[in-house]
Amino acid sequence: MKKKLFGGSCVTLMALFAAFSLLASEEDLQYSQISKPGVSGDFMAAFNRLKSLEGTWDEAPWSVGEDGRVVQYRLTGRGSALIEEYVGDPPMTTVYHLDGDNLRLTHYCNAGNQPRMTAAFYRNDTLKFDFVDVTNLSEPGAYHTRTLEIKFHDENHIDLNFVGLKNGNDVPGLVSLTRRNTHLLQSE
Amino acid sequence: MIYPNTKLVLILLCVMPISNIVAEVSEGTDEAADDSKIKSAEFRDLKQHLTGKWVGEFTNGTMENPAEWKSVEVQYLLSGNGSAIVENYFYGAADNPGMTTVYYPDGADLQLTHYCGAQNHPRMKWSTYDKDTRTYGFQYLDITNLHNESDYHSRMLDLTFVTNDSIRIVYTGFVNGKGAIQTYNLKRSASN
Repeated sequence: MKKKLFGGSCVTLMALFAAFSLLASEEDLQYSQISKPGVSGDFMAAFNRLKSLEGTWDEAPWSVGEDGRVVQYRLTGRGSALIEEYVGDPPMTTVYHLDGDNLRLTHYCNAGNQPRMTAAFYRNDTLKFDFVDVTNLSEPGAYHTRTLEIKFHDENHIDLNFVGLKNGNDVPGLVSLTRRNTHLLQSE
Repeated sequence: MIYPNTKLVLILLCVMPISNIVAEVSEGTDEAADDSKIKSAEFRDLKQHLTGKWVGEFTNGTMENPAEWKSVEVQYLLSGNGSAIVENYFYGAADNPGMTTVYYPDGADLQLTHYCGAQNHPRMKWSTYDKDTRTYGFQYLDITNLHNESDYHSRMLDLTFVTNDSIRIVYTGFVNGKGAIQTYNLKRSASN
């Protein structure tokens, strides 16, 4: 799956992510912890903000002449989890869910592995997730997503900023989404 | 002749990291999760036989001692470039699934995460396969969003291929320390 890079802002973002990684070591990110040091924000409010995404969205094309993907948000688990589905070939899924007063995600990645992340902060319309652990990593240097930052521009526009790691090098990616409607595809 | 602006561009190109120059990357395409790279034979088996739409009924109880049977539709979708099976349970006419289970390999092992209607999310690990009954058994690994130990949460899942077009799924959970079983009997939908 092709992903757009940040271009000129890459260095700045890499520096920011390096700073964040110093602030929150992996020992601080044990999945079993409900409340952990270094996190901030009202994650119940963040989850409600995520749930407001329910419906169908269009990804901005990567370049002229290309089509972006369709992304669908739907609830499951009696409202306790939000599924993000990249519809098409190949499909990809991320599930956001509560854990007490914290917020988690599992990313069922097209790279064939499944990183889990936990919310680090929610402020200024930005929700940041940091890496916890990963299953099915084929080798230590294999690509896997490490962080996700969601920027809520307004109720109809969001950006998903991913940063992955491959052979020790950061691989940033950006998905910009615009709401098509509040319906799910099969109900259209 | 090199124009001043051209010089500036060349200088920037020299000092920018390679990752800044590349316009696009293909996430994971060179490490795509095609079947030859999936080590879990059990996951490949589930993937081969489950994908598609299934219809049937479920009950809060066992086959031998059921409560009321109610209709259900279950969809199995592949995701993550074939590295995850998303199982969505639809009750009634709802557009959203009532609950979802995702099966995925972990090396040679097989795991699942169950996004439960009880609003917690247990993970389970494949533990047994009974060749005679074609039953995959999963056992509890850990859980998120469990508010109290006494709250209902699933601890085991048994998935049985009764035939290639008929499956049974049994969730065994615990509430207040007592076992609670939910049984699904599903047939492959003709609309597949």
